[in-house]
Amino acid sequence: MTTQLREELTALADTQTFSPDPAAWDRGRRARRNARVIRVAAVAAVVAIVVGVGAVSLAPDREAPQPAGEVRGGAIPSRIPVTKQDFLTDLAIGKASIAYVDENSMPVLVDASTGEAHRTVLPDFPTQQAFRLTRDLRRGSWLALSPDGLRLAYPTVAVQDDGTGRRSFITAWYRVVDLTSGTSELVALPPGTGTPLAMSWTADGRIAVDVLGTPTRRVTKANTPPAVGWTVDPATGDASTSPLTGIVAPGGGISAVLPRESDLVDAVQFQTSSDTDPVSVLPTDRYPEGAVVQPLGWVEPDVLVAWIDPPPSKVTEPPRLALVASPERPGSDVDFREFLPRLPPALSMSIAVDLIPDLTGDPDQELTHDFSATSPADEDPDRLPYALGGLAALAAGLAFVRMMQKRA
Amino acid sequence: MITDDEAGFAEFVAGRQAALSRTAYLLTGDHHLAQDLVQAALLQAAKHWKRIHTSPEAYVRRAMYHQNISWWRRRRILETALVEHDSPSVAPDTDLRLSLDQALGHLTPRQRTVLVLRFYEDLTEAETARALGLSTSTVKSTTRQALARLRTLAPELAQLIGADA
Repeated sequence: MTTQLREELTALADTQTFSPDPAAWDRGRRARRNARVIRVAAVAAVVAIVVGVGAVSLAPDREAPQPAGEVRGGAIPSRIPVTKQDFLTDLAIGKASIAYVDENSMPVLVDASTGEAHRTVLPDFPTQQAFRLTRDLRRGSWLALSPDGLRLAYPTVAVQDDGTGRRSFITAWYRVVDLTSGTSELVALPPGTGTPLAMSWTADGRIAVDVLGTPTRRVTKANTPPAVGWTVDPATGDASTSPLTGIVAPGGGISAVLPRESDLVDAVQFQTSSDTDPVSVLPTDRYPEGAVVQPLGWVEPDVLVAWIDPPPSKVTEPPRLALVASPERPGSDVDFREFLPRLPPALSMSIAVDLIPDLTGDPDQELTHDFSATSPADEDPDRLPYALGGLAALAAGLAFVRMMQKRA
Repeated sequence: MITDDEAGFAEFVAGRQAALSRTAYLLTGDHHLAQDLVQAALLQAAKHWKRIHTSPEAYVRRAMYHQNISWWRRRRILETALVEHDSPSVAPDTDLRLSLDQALGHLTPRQRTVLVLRFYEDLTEAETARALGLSTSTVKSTTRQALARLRTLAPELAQLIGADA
């Protein structure tokens, strides 16, 4: 069967003969050259598109402020960004602008040069349990950033269990961290003192603490011993009592009193060495009623930085920083001025006051720095269309190359 | 100036063009299409001549098989309407060869190609499968279907292809 079929097919095929085009070779080689040229051109086009889009995306926008990279000398950021997922373990960041303890009792440092916020691992820093146990004791921040932003100080509050489930807390040392070298040292407590109510720095570089003094009558929750102020030289450990508690102004003539958390205030309370107790009444039209006012430091001998933490309400108002004039500056042009309006929720706050520029009296003076204007271009949402366009162009280019390859 | 490659290509074409033309005609059933098919396959061979390390003839034939099926797919889309309404009726012809020619024209390109490879090129089922990129079982079933269709279309071919598959 197959033999006959083959014979018939052969006979059928033999009826058709023709000669191929003699130019087949030339046409074939020309087609090959053209295909190569097209492929090279397509690859070059794709590379050019990628490079061009990359340049457009990453190059500085001529209309926008030119990136300045890091801010030399540091600055207070106009907005504290969300903390990154990582934990900062190398403490040699140089300078911090703000240090705060977040809602989970985790210390956070804001880099003064970049404005970035980092959750930080600090040696012997009090645990969340320690913060919980001392809630009624604390009056200010335990995490104290020096005025120049180069050093941190905090008490090494530790929780002890006596074996029966009863817990107590104890502070054996203060710890001072040098943010330039990343190293830290232990500093002895002033004699006869324990866990501090609050910690800060004086203008001349000493650690300032408020501690409970010796009780003069039976101690109850409503009748606590008076607070006593101490300062400690972190280099030598020399300690001396201070005539004033709270945040003492440069010169030592006046201090802003640290209120207890339960105190509802509508004014910042001050204390003077002459035993007068003046107050700076806060303007009711700008000050959120029922807010906790926590003095943080002195920008000038008579201008205080305060942390205003509004009470929980239906209209969520974030904490903010404000400048408050002391009563020793009558007729001040800085009676109450908010300058950092959106702070993250925090247990306490501390600020490098030296990073706030010298006040000119101009109510529009910029006291903070917008780091987002100097952030890398890839964080700029305006560039998203360029990036998407670039991707589309890249996909089109690849499809073109693929088509050329198929045709070749 | 003629290079060695060009001379080798010319020698190949001169030696094998007749055989390639015959196969092309059996694959297409049309003189002009066969000419185009050979030309396209040779063009492709010339383009990649330096990269053809095996038999050039095997390369060209393989190109023809695949090109023919590819063309048929395109032609089918363009010409379906015309075939349905304008195709001339097949005139009865007592000549066996013409009957075979016409019957082959009613097979699908795959069926036709498989028959050409199996019964004209004399390839085994495995070689046919390899040449067309099909499985051996597909080649077997396609051959069976193609022969059955020839029997239906032209009963007078029974003496060539047998009474049943």
